[in-house]
This record gives sequence, structure tokens and C-alpha cells, in this order.
Amino acid sequence: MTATQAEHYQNLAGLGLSGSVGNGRNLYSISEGGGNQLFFAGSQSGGSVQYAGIFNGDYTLRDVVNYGMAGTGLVLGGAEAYLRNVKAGYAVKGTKTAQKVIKNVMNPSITKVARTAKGLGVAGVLLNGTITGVNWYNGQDVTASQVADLAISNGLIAAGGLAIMSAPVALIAVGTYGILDSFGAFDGIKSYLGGDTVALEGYRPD
Amino acid sequence: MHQYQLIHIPRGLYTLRLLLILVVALALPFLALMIIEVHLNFVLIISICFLIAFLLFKLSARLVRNDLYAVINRDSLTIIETSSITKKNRKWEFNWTNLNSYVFETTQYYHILRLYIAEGKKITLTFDHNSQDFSRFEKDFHDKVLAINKNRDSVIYMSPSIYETKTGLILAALLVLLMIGWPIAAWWNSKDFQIGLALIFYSGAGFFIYMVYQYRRSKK
Repeated sequence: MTATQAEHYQNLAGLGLSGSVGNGRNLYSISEGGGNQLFFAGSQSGGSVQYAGIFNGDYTLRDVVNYGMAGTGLVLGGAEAYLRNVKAGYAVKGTKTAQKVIKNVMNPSITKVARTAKGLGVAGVLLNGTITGVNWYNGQDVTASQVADLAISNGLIAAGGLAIMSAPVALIAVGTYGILDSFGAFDGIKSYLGGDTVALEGYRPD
Repeated sequence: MHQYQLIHIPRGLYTLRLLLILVVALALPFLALMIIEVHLNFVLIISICFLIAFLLFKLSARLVRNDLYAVINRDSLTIIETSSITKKNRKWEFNWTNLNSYVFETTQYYHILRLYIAEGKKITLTFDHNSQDFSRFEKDFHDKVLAINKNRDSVIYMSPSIYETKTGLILAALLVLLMIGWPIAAWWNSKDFQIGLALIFYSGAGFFIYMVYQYRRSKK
């Protein structure tokens, strides 16, 4: 075990995680030749497309967090819509009592739910970006595919996401991209962009 | 004459700000780590990233919110927008007789008002959800249009929002399919579930589907 790996284990121990090198039901694993990989399991050196599978029990903590956050996002989105409808109902009444309810109850509740729902999207991008960044800082090479994934995520969220979030067509585009990407429809494009070619060498200070 | 203090969000600026915050919040901690050459654990690094993003969001919030002053007169509607950065004013003014149709739409990020003026002109305003006078403005706007429609031959139409249309229903059905299909596809192919996109998608899809459901239920 190298000094970097030992340090990496210490970091993980600090997170309260445990796991093993190699295959199995890992929360994390150490890749064979590309440096450390936090929260990733079953990936090859420098690989970016293949990750842990749920069905074979080889999921990572990152998967659990990701699916949990997506579920939370769904619930919050629905809850926000519900609250806005209730508020609209009070606004139509136009009475002083209704205005008080809107001001004191509805507006603060909606603000909290909406802020969390919107914040989750940004949190997701930051989480993905930081994981890639931490792996790079720990010496793992960043491939062209990973750069493409990150750029597409950021680009879609910033340009197609928040700006035109009201347009459901943008949502359809994001969902369709997600499914097609899962089936590897964009692997050709990613390969064209460099695939598993190292785009940014891992940070290895002398 | 009725006056309203509203907040307009310029979408281009809003998007640019978000992109810049993401890039800075992701790059800054690692640049600092490279300079000071210290190994921090994952939780600490991600905490720093989130803290930087949070601070940048807070500090720049006012820059992407323009003050908007609206006046509903007997004969006309006047809207004056003051840029939060340049402090320059932009003014729209038109007679009610020139208004063909309009639509108010509540989305997850803004309240949208689209005004379809004579000669094919269209004005789209995106109001911040926290605009203090928005509910009053929307109600008075509807009331004004109803009063005008009673007194003249031509009619100002209130167009249905996307949630009330058949297109909205079809899109909602598609979103449900995608919501179910995406995680299954990711599991099946053992691929990464792109959480950034998924969070935007699921949160937005949940909102849109519920709005469609609510509008259709209230119709019955």
C-alpha cells in the first residue's frame, strides 16, 4: 500500500466508511492503476462510463445518495406546486384573512420548499464536480469522457435547466438525454471527443 | 390608478451567474489546495465548495433582480424596469385596446406574464416569486380585463396556461415515463445516475405533473 493510499484510507475512516480493495459490495474501491476513487466501485482505471450496478449489489454510497436526492427532488417539486395552488386559492378569495394566511403561512412555506428544490439541482452538480475534483487531486487521471459528462451536465443545467426550466420541453430533453446516455447512445460522441483518453493528468506533486 | 412593486428576473443574466458560480465554487478550493499543498478529506472539500457557492449566491442575488414598477391605469398599462446593474430604466406602455391576449403562468422558477399586443408584438416578463405585490397585480389585471371586455365589442383573451392544454397533458405523460424509465435504464445498464441533471429533472417534473393534475382536477 502506497503512502497516498494509506492517507486515502485515513480520509475514508474519517468519514466512517469501510470497504475493501477489489470486487464486492464496496462503498468505495481503489482502482488498479489510475489512483484513488472516492465513492466509485467497479470502475476501470480512468474509465468514466461504467459504474456500480445496483442489481448485482455492487452499489456505492454515491448511488444511494444520488437516488435518494432525486426522490427528494421529486417530492419537493410536487410539494411546491401543491403549495402554490393553495396560495392561488387564497389569493382569489381576496379577503383580509386570506391575505394574512398568504403572508404569514403560505409565503414562508413556499419560500423554504422552493429554495430547497432549486438548491438540490445545484447541489447535485457541485457533488458530481467535487467527486471528480477530489479524485483528480488524489492522483486519478480525468478522462475526456468525464470532462464531457461534467460539461454537458453543467451546460444543460445552466443554459437549458434554470433559464428555461418553465419550458417542459427542456425537462423532456434532460430526461431523454439521461435515458439515452444510460443506454450508451452518447458513447460514440464521447469516444470522438477522446473517450478514455486522459484529458487531465491526476495531480501528482513531486 | 393602481401601482405595484415587482421584481423582474432577466433570464440570460440569471443563467450566466449560475454558470459562473458553479465554475468558481468547483475550481477555487482545488486551486487553493494546489497552492498550499494540503490533503483534506472529501467531506471538508465538498463543504468548502458548498460554502463558496452559498456565499456567491447570497452576494450576487441582488444583481439578477431588477425592480419593476407597474401601473394599471383606466386606459393603459405602464411598466418601468430598472436594471440592478446599470440603473437604467426601460419602459413599456400600451393601451388596453391594443392588448389581444395574455397568459399568467406559475412555473418553478418564475411567475411568467406573456402579453400579446397588436401587430404580433409579444412581451414576456418573468417575475420573482417573492415579488411583494404579485398576487395583487395578477388579481387586478384579471379584473381590469374582465371590466374592459364587458364594455367593448372586441375581447381580450386569457390564453390557457400550458398546464391546461392537451399539449401539457401529453408532456406530463411523457415526463412520467421518463421519470420511471431513467433510473431503471441506469440500473439496467450499470451506468452512473447523473445526479445534477436528475435533480433538476425530478424536481421540475414533479412540479409540472402536479400542476397539470391540479388544473385538470379543478376543471371537473
